[in-house]
Amino acid sequence: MSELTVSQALTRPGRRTMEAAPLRVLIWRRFLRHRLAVVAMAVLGLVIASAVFAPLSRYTPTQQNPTNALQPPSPQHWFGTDDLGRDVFTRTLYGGRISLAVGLSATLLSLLIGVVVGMVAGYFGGVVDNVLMRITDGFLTLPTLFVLILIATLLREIPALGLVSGVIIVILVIAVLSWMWPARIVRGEFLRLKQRDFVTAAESIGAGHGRIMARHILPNTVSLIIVQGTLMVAYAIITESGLSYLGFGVQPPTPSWGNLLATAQTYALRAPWLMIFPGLMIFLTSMAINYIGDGLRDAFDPYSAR
Amino acid sequence: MHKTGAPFIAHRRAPALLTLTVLLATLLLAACGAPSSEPQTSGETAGPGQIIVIIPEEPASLNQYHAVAAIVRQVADAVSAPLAVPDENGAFIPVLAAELPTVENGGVSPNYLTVAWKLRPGLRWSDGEPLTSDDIKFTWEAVSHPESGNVLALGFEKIASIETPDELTAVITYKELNQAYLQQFMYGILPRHATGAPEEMLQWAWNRNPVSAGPYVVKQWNSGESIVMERNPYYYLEGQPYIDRVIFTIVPDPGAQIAMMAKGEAHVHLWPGEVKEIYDAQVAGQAALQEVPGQWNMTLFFNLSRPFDGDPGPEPPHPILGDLRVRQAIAHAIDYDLIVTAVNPGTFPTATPFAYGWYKCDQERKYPYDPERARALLEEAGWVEGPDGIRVAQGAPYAEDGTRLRVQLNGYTNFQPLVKLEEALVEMFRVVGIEATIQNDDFSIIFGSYEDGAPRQLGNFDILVYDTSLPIEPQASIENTYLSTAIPTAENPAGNNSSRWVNLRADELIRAAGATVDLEARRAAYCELSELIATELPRLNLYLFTEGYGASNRLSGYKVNMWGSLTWDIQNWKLE
Repeated sequence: MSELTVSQALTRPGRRTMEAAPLRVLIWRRFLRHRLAVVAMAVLGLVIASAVFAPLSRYTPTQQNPTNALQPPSPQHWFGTDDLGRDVFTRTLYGGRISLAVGLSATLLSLLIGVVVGMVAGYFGGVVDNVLMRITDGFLTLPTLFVLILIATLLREIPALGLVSGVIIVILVIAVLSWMWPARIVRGEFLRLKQRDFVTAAESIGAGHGRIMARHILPNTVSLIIVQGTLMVAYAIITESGLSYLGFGVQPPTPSWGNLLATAQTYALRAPWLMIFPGLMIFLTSMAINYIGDGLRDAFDPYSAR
Repeated sequence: MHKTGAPFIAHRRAPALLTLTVLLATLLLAACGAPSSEPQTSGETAGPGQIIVIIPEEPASLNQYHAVAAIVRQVADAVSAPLAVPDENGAFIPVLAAELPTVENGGVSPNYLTVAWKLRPGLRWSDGEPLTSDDIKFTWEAVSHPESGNVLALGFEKIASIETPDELTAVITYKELNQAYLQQFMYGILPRHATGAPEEMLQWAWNRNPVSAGPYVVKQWNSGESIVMERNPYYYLEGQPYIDRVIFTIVPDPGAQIAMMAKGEAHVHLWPGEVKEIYDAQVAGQAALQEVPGQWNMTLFFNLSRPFDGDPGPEPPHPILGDLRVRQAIAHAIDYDLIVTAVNPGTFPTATPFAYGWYKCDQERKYPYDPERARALLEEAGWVEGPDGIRVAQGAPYAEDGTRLRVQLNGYTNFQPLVKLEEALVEMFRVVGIEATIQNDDFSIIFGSYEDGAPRQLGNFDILVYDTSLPIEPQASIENTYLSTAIPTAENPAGNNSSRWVNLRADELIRAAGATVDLEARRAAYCELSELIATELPRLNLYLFTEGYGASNRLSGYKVNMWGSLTWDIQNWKLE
């Protein structure tokens, strides 16, 4: 059976009951039938809200009390205190701001670059494909550590980077070092799908390259892109803390989930709560995004049973 | 605490590039089938006459003259053969030398320019070859060769010649006074017959499998896993070492290290990175942390010169830190007691770089914790409180009006005690109206060279935060750190006066101390220098880390030595 675009699928015989509603409403309805995805949406909403409303906490994220360091969770400090007596609950909430910003933005940027490169390479093939894929291979073979040390050295020439510019650099670095995977996946899909009848049909009625790529082939790759994206969010959150080891972006005392976890390593045995709560937040966020991705994939997939 | 061969800069871990080089070398060796075909020792447990020593990282080499990474000396002393070493009190004791050369016993000429070392009779290398005065001469030839790759500042360039009138005697003639003559061969003698050409020293096979005159020889090196050593049959001390076999096991994970000690699977634990009460509780009665106040002195280095002006020299002054009153205010803002009791407990407060050794000075803190005084000084210096509590310039001598009182703390990453200190300082500074930010970089960036554009060498920083140490013979280090001519510039890229401090009295004192061998006179000069530093604040000394290691309760005979490595006395260790 040949592949169909979403709009074609939803308007074929047997699905007439759906014809009345616009596409996005249909997709939304299908998404709502995926219970786990809805729960995940609520969880992610809570995580984002907790980051947004972090200032409501009765402590500030940098308020220290070294004589009260490494206290276990208590009514005063729900998530305990860290090695300088700071409230881990507050730091975890504030950490979400950086981590969510980095995780989501870096993933979106990486997908944007990767999808465009993969689309163009897979669709046009030939010399274009060859050139773009060699560039992709080139990026894949970059020795990451050397590149990062080089960038860090160059950044040292700039007197003082603020937090915002630091975070933007982290997002750019993660995206630049990770767009190759979605690019290769999308290219493979485009190579496969462009041979299909529906593409030939679109071409025969005079659709342009842009329209065929964006409206006919791309929707069929959405599920793969979403799966790749959900995996990349957690990767970006963890990579951010790795980058701070090299002196990028988020420096102490500003918390991020990644650097909270990195600090917690030192106290893994003595104060496990330092590791548990930021770890749990990363876990919840990744799981939520994963299930939302799962729900979206099903919602977009015309053959889904839901 | 980690130590380094080059004694005056903190080197807590090998630079990333070095680590990569080691990794590549390891892979290459693995590919060449270099490791012995004997069974691997992973999972090997201690048996009678055998101990396991946990090391967190692998040394690239056992040649101490190449030791940028502190780990090298910690392992290499077990296979090294020095003429003399400092004991746990800082006093030199002879090892391969029959006695210490002094003016009294005729070993040193009255002008200190000729030093005659006498070897113990009958010394042999681990391959049975005799160890003679020619090996001393060879060590000088090899290490002083410009392409040898030597990184240790031991004054070999001051040697004019070495004569070997007989197999036991090496007579060293110096071109100029070398006050450090006793430590000249502290990092071991090299065998002429079993090494190679000096210019190929970095590639010697000896570096990883040394023909030794120390207590042990390398039996097997399993890259990434362990280094197995067995006793040197030709060691000069009869019946020693007492333990037949030592396995240095490479375990990077602190949790795994503690677990091995707690289960009694390992006997010695290098760099546990934990305060004593907690360490002892974690290893559950199997072992204990043995520690003494150490050499590593946590210090703030103020840049007195304007950063990012393209000029590494001392002028123009730093817009904020160029004013002594601001540095005094910073000193008054720091709660020193809180730092040593709560932020980094188990450390010892100190107010001077001269905190130990024969040159120790009883330096009082000139600007103790007093936030009120700090605020008053900042007001006086033309820094008035802004709307958000952070001060701005209004009539400050070197800053334009409206400049925010903002300084950056520069440290290195991946060392939690340093990060904790910086975070605590940020809060303490904020209380008096100073905004501090933290920028920690990879070790290789902070301690890079002038040519590599290291901010420390180019003067592109506000306040550096790291720990330094002084060696037992400090003159060379002091000259390169406090003389006004030691400011790093294109002409003097290795200078270590990173604060860009120019003080003519300090120059006089340092030169006077370098011109005499009278220890009391030298100490007096150093202590006046200490007073100057504590008053003028080119740097601010905070506290000393402790030095030590975890040792099994079954182990005895060891002495923690802040001047030596873990294995400096391994020949004396006994296992019950």
